Amino acid sequence: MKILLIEDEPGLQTAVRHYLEGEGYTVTTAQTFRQGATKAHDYDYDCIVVDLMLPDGNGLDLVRALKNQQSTAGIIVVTAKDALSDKLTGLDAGADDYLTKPFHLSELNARLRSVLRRRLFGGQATVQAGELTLWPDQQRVSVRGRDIKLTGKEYELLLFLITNAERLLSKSAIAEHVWGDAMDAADSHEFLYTHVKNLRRKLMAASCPDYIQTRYGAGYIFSTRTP
Amino acid sequence: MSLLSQTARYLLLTAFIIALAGAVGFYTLIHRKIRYEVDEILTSQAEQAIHRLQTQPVTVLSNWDDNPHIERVLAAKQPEFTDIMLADSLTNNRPEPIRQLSTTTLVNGQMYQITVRLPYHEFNELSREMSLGVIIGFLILMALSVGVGLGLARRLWRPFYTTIDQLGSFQLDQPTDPGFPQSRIREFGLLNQSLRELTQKVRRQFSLQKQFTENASHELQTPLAVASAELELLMQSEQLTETDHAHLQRATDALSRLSQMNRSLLLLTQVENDQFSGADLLDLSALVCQYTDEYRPFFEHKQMQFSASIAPNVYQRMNRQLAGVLLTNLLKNAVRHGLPGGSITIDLLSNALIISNTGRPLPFAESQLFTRFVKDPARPDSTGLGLALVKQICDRYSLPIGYTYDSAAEKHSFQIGLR
Repeated sequence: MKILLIEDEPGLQTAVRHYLEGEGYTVTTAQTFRQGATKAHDYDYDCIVVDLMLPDGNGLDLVRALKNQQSTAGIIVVTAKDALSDKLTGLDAGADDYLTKPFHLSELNARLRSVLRRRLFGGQATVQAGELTLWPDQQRVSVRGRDIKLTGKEYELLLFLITNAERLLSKSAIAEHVWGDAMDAADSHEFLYTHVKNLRRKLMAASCPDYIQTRYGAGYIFSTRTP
Repeated sequence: MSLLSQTARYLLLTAFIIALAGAVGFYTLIHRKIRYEVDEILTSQAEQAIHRLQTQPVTVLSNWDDNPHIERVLAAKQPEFTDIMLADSLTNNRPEPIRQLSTTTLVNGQMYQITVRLPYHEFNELSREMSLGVIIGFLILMALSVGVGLGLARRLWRPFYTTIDQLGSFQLDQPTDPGFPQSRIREFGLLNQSLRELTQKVRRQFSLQKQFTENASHELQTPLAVASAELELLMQSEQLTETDHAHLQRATDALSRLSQMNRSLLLLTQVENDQFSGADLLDLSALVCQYTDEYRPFFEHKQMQFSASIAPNVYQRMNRQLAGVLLTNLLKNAVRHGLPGGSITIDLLSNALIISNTGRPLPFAESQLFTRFVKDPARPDSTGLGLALVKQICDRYSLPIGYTYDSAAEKHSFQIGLR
């Protein structure tokens, strides 16, 4: 999978690139609007992650240009502007998803996966993780062909864990992904603990191996490797 | 009170005082003049009597009503005017004011006192009627001039009121300047000119500030994003101990709080700057239902008794995003500060929204509840901006917000009046 990352902040660019490379993507980076536009024009990418405020232009223009060229690449806009109107402008211009800074890398990964799934498999693809099969467009989960009933939040939690498999997910990253803005109100860690416990119970009741490992004080790891 | 009615009030008040003083003064003046004339008549009558006394016998001198009255006296005296009251037999013996002159004269070596009398009554009446007429005329004149003056003033001040109206409808986030009217009056022209310059200056400042908040947001969020991304990468390292993870977690939490605070502050500034234009007629009932459903798991998780009574079809004109911020902040506040096992009630009435939760009394003065950065010292993870934001949004739409604490039931409640 080829990703073009257009971000002018060197620190953030490096961190994102490292993370995504660790996820197995091929990452090309661009620092400026001009560089990014050239690369996006010259090569094909599966997904383009673009910052809106670039030193020599607005990322939105790039989004519009790509849409005009009928590019098949998925586009995720990353920006510090979080007003609703800004988001709507971005999505109207043709972006597939929108992420506001600061974001968790795992969150970016989950959004990338979701965009790629929609782009490459028409949303029909299943996600396989060990003995679990997920149908992201139907919110369906099964273990060895037997469906498990999960609540919406439990499903999102599981998908997020699977998307970032083999990586340590901090509690705040999970909480923000699954519950969004509402989460910072509650004593999030305890709340999350209850939900993970429920999810685990349901999976294990369907005789699925315990893939979710707890790193005490840090977060959770979804791993299909047998310990 | 408007300028015009104030002017009218003062004008009428002065007119009344002048009329009052004028009436008294005028009456006195006329009264004096008439008395002077009466005295002149009496003097000439007395002189006539003296003249006749010298040529005719005393007996035929006095006419039949004893006026002039002539009698013999021993000593001479100065002529003297007096006012007396005498019963008038013609008008049922009613006492009437009468002016009399008594003077002495020497005729053929004999001293006579001559007393002439003249009823005063008619003259008094005349003076009263005259003063009344003059005062009424004066008042009519005054009323006319006040009326004309006010009409003129209203006409002259019209550009001023148009300017004030224009100023009232002035909105910073609208692209066009208000069209202040052209006026032939120099002062109003100057005023409009200054206002035009002022609004342009304010608008320029406003857009600068808007740019600044946006840029500040970008500039602050990017390093935050770098830091949290780096921390997240670090967290993937296999060699970390549990203590390292705890440190990392704390750093991540602090960062996310910082970013949350940054976002809230920016939002607060934007609301203060009126950057949220456009207000839709929101179905508040649906919105409250949606958000309470979203927060229900949090209430349940804290084992809070939750009850909501939401009246249907409650509409409120406001910006959708701000309404969302308002509701989520109040709900977050209730979850965050409500005690586990307590209760939360949400009531949406046609004219008010009331959100209450049980909890301990406020650890600070009630007056500071909506102040920025005032927070429960026991809850360092709170930003202390949530309720400040709520207050700011309520103020923007002039919705009254109240807070009460029922110490018997240990219940905090927030009431927002709707229109």
